[in-house]
Amino acid sequence: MTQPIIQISNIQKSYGDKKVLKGLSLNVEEGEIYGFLGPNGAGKSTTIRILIGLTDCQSDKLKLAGLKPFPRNTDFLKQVGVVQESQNLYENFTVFENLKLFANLLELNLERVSEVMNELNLNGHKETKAKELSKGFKQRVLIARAFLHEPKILFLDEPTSGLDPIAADKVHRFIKELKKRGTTIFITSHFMEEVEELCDRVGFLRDGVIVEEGVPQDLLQKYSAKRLKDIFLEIMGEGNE
Amino acid sequence: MNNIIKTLFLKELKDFFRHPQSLTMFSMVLAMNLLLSFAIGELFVEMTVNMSLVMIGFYCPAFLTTEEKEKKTLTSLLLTPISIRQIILGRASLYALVTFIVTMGIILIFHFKETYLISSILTIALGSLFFTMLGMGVGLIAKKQSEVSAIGTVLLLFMFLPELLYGVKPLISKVALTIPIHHILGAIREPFISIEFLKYFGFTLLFTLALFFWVRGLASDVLLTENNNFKFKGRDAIFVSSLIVIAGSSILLFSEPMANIVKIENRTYLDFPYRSFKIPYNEERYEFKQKKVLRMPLLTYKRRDNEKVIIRVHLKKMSGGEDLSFHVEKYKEELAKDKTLKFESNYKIIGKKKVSVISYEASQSEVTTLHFVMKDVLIRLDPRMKVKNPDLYKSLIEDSEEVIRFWK
Repeated sequence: MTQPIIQISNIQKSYGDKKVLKGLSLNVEEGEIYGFLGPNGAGKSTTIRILIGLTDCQSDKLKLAGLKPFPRNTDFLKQVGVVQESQNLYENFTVFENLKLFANLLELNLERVSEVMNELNLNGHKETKAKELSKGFKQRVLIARAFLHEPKILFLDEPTSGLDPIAADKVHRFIKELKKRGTTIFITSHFMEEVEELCDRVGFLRDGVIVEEGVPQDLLQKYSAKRLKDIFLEIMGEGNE
Repeated sequence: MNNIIKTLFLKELKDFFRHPQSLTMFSMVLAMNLLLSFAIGELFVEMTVNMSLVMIGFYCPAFLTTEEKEKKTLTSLLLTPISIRQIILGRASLYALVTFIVTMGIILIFHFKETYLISSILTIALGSLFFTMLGMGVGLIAKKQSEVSAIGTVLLLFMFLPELLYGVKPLISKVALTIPIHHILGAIREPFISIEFLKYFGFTLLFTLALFFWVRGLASDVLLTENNNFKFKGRDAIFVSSLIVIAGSSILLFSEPMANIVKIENRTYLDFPYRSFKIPYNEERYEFKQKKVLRMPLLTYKRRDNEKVIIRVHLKKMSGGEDLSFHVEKYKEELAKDKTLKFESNYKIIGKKKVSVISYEASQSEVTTLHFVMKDVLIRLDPRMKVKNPDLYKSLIEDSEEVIRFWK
């Protein structure tokens, strides 16, 4: 049996006296879309920072694609792509310049930029500066940028936050397309419908630990709920009032 | 690795020309220098070079680094397989180059006669790198761009004032010696092959190296911290300590003693041990005071019988291309602007020295200025007096000439 592509066991992280993660453990299989859910302040962003190698932590095991993310190492960074919540494009650069910059940094050729632009239908705005783009379009450029080097694992932090349904749908379709190609995707989101539609498995984070985890359909049965949102409210509800 | 730095360099170049703050700073330096050159005529290297180094070298990378931190674009770079060192070098190389080109342009246009070309090229290249690294360091620490503005304003004053007021008070001179701009401005005014240049350049290098290693560590610390906030750590303490050691060594090495008063065979002299010469000092007739202005000694002889009568000798270091007539002509041009003045100038030989004498009359006062040049030193002797008493005037001229005659 193959090893899970993301293996985390007993992650602990504190800022000063405040414990943010209190023994977080989870595994994600290769090719899976994993929904990482939790209210604001539950430790989602910290977990993602740890998983992408931007922050150190204490843990029994922490391996992604067989590699340790921290301290920063180039082998690991070639395996992961990240779309952060802040739409961090170079605003004064055009769509093409943004992608070209990262293609050069990733030592890819420019044909790859054209390929990705085609896939995400970005050609119409090739010469548009990022600051003139809509939020939905920016999000597509960010996904294109994160996917340039065809990473094994893609982290999407709130990928459809603030997008209209049409823009969100385009993002969803591309995520599904990536899954078909075997990319493992780790998503955080507050939209339970989105999670239900996209994710193979979900984990609920509360107070720095995973309190529930499973396949959405199984969880709906277990909690006799119609929607994932009801389960979210039941799990998080009182503890986070 | 070279391709990555080249990519980052080109990215910074593109960003520079599209960024309003960079362009504002760049234009301000050019506009202020042009304006000042029209308004003042003669620009101080302390002002122009300082302005260019701080406003372009420091402000631009500081603003852009803070902005990239705020907008999290720096984080996006960190998520590519490039090293933090490459990110720093990519940015530093562009801003150091722009700063170097602008500063060298200013030196070549306004200060060519008072600086040495090779010394300037080497020192300004290093100085540009120093200020760029400083800008990036402050950019990493600052949370918002407004903080960069505040820190930059204080920094500009800190770089500017002690250097301009160097010599006015011993404490200010000591402070000036701890600031790298002192060494940068010192090095460009020394010939490339000289101990003085090596001393100044060496200290600029030490400051830059300390800063480079600090900024590299700081970038890792800040960018790999939640919310990218700065916290004072052991590494920062080491950096501050190394700065204190370098600054302390600079004070010890560069503090020039002032002239000592010595008596040889019943005559009093002013002895300049660091310049190996003595000049006479008529203690009975004059009260002597000394301080430094623009790094060179300003000696003041005040008549004991008439406090309004003073001789000022201001030593000015001359660079290779300068000669006495250049300064005399420049001074005459200045005087000619004031139509109320009547002035005359001529050269005469005192001892073995050719001395320019410029005297002029005005309604309020009459001033005689004697210029003379010795080795690489221009001395401007300025006996300012109210010439009601021809005997006093004569004795003053004699005393001035005696000072000139003794200058070896």
